[in-house]
Amino acid sequence: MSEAIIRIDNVHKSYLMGKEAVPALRGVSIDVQPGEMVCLMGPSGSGKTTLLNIVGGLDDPSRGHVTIAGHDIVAMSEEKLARLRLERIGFVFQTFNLLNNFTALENVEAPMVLLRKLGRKERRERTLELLAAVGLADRVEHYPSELSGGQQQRVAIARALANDPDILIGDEMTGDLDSQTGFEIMSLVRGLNQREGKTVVYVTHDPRMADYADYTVHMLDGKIVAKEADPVQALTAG
Amino acid sequence: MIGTYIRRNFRRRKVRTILMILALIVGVGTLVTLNATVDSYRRYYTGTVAGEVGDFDMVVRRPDTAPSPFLDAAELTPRLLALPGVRDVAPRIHAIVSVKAGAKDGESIFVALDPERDHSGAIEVVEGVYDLSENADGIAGAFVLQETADVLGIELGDPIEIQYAPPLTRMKGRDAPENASRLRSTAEWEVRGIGTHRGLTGQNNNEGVVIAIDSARERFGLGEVAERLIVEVDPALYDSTNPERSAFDARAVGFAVRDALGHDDYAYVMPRPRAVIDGASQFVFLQSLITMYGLLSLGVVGLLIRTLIMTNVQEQTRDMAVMRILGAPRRHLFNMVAAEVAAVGLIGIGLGIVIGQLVNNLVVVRFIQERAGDYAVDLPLVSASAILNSVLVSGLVLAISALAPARTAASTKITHAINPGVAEGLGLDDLEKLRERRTDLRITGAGVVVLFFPLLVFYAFPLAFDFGILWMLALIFFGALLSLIVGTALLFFIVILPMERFLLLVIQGIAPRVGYFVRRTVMRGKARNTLISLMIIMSALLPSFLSTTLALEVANTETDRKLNGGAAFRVYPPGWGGDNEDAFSSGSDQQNAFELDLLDELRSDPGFGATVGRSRNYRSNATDGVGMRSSSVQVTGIDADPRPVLYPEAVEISQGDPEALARLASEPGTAIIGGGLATYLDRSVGDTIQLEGAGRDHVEEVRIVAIAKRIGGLGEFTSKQTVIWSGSATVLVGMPTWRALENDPTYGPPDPAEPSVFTLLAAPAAGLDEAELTRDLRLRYATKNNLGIRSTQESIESVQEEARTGQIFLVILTALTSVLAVFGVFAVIYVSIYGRRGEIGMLKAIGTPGRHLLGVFVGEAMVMTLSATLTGVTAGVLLAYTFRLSEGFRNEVPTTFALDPIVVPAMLILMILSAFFSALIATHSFRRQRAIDILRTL
Repeated sequence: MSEAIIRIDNVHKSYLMGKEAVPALRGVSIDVQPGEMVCLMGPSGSGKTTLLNIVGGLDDPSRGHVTIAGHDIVAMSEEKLARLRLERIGFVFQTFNLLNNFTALENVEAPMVLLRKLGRKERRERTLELLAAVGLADRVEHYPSELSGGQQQRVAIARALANDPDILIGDEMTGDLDSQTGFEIMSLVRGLNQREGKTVVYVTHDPRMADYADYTVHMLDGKIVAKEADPVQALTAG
Repeated sequence: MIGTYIRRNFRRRKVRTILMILALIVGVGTLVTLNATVDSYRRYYTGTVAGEVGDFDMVVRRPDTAPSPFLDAAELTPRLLALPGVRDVAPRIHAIVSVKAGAKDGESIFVALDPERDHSGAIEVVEGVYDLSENADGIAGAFVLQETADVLGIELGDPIEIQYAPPLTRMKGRDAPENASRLRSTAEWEVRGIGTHRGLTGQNNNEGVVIAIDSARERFGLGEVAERLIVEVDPALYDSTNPERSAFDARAVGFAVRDALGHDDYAYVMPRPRAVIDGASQFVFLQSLITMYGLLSLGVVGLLIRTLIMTNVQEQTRDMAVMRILGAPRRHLFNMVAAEVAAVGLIGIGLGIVIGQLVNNLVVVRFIQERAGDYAVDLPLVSASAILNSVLVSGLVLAISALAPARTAASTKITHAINPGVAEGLGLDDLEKLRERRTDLRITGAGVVVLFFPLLVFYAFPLAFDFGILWMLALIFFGALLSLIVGTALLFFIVILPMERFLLLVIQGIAPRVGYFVRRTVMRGKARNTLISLMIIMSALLPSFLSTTLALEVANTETDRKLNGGAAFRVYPPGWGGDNEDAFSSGSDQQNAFELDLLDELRSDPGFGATVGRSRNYRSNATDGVGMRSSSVQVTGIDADPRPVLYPEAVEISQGDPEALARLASEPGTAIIGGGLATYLDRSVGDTIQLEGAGRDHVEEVRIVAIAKRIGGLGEFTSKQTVIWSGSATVLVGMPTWRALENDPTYGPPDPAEPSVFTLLAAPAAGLDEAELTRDLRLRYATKNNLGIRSTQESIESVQEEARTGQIFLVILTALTSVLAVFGVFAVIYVSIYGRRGEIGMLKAIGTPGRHLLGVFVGEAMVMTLSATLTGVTAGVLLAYTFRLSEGFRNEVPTTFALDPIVVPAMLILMILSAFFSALIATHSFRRQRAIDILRTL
């Protein structure tokens, strides 16, 4: 087995609610191998989004170790962490979070502009490729407000892939979409995972969307309670 | 519930609330300070003028055609005291008397008054006491004013002998007889005090002797008479915030006095009410300018409040929808927002008034008092007119600001609570806004329409002028200026896009990554920054316009004055008529020519180099000699070659021999005319024209030896035909020709020895400093011979000094306007950044460095504010140049190009700093927060 691309080791996370510390994660440990597609599930308040944010380097643990692509992100400065996210991690949010003043093309292009690895022409070519890959070749000059929810999420996925990251993080990617569009988005992500070997970690409430993962990690009260390839079986066990 | 809403908003949105209140404090405080400053200065001015002309409400005298110069004080006083509005009546005797003190004697002003009843004017004792009473030995006291004491060497305790003669009366329609004998009385007083006065004698100096009227009556044997009665009106009449009203109220008392005493037997003057109304007139234009500045500044504050309150409303749309579901009427939601603005306004305006008045009282009034020196003026603690004016303007601005947010709140849809997605659904208009911004020709069109308003000045201004309504004149004038500014700003709004593109190019050149993001936000944020851009344009336009106008005036004053005045010095004979140089520079019929002795003395003065004497203008008619064309002209004669006297640039000969000007004085029958007259008569060099002379059938024929475009100081030689319409074209001839023309030949030939020089133009002797020479000449001639001496250099410096003072005033006003614009910029940037939290969170999440985020928002703020500022500056500068160039074209004078070195750069720097710090402060917390923390708050 190759070295884990994401290593979570005994991670604890507490939030301060008023004067009281409320634990969100209680000693979570998990390794994700490169190319795996992992689904995090659990009821509200189980800690899955907190875990996802820590995996994506958006949040830091109160205790424990987190290693992403060989980098210990707990000790990293904010600027270095930002650089790591820009190069190695792509994000897809439930509410898309596209730049409203930017067209679909510009939204996808934006991370490449920030990274400055590609020249203007190469950047434009890659953007068009990505948009074509998510089925939006004919919507490149559209603004987010001119696109449907599904189309916006496709743009968000294309944007997440802009700098060719190793890891794709999805937070309720299909939460704001109808079932049919949700399945289409998940198929797209799964395809990317299988074709390009991207590691995908995502959170969902919908068991049907969990079917796309290699395995599902079930969480409850800040702990991992099951890690099953068959979600139905896992749920029964839980 | 409304109270809860306001309290909650104040508590939860502290930054916005503080920002709104702060902006109001600064805006209103500024306006109150400026208005109070104008009010204080007006009062100072009024006090000073009243002090100079006499601090009397009303003076009742006998006309000099009355049989006696005295009035019966004992009989008149109770009659006047019975009139409403009359507070007191004090008898006085004013006269010019001979004062003898020891071995010295001289003439002095003499004021005999009743120290118990006379409250007019003020005395400041320098030495001794102000005691006019009789002592035990029966010697009465006198108070001598400082200058008289100095001239006559009077000291405390000295006896002074005063010789008094009652004023002469005259018969109506006739002069007082010369050398008429007058009964003179002499008496002695003891000097008990020496000092200065304000408004006591009615003279603007410290000459005079003040004694008690009783002692004067007794010693001069005058009985119970008075030479004048000082009527003091009820001081409450001056309490009105409207000085014009105060003056008219005082005048109503004056009318009552006149009705009681009659029209014929008494003469009346009202110095103080006159000073009050003159003061109001002097300051009405300044007041209007400040009100306009206030409107512009508070416009920015209003915009800020509108933006922030609108943001509050938008953030609480769901809550308001819930209230609608619960049954709250739309009116209630409207009132909630209106009450919030009112609460903010109450605090902001209240504190602004207090601070503005404090600044006025602690800084401005002290400054004025210091400047007032001898003329200590009582200034009120609170300037009611300033406060009222400021409250009205700021209240109006606030009401307008509250309207849009309150209406938005009132129109909240219930669906906002049920299904926000549907309620907030984007319309076609919203989508349109996302497209690249294009030039909005409607704004340009609006500018053109607004610019038509100043044209009204041509119609409304003369109308108001005819009626003599000064405040209306000021209103129209500054209304026109305001609409000129607003119209030009709207017209130039079209320039803002190229400006933005230019600045974006600069940013992209410096920081390509930042430029990539800035460009897309700025160029597509149509709805967000149009209003603030317009306000910034206007805030930048007015100071740029005024400061460039000033800079042009300073730069062109020297040329203008030299071209206009022609020579370094212009000397006018006695009775030249005071300051109104233009009216007398041509010489009027009433004015005397220089006596030949005096003229010789002047011409041989070592301070002067070359000189040329100029006649007065003789109004004649120039014809072509065949009766086809004729024009009214001014014929001016010169007695020497003017070229060594005139500035080289002041002489421009367009046709003919330039040496002709040198020979003109010695060649009778020759003339130089301007291009306009030459074109009109179709006469050229070598041709003749006929001039009508003073006698019957008297015509003088003159040969044109040159056609001039300009001969400064000697008349109007323009090439424009307008001189024909106005009859101001000059025909310049030698003095013999002028004399021949002005002389009626019926009575013989002209007398070559008759004084004909009405203005002496002179160049300074080589190596002399003009300023020093002017002072020296004034000392030698102005006081002794009462000559009028005008120095071009002095007038240049005077205009430049005035311009510099104006520049300081402008810098202050600009700084204040800009400070408020900074608030506006901050509010818009703050709201814009706050509304884009999601974007910031997402950008941080995908790995955007903090400095890049700061760069993007600073870049956006810079482009937005600088493009508008540059547009405003461009518009202001072009507007100033348009006026100057058109004036230059009209007067045929060149324009020296100039730019203001202080106001415009200061404004640009302030705007750059405000944009930078606004973005820095507004993004501060987001830059520190982690992406996840920002996203969680959405």
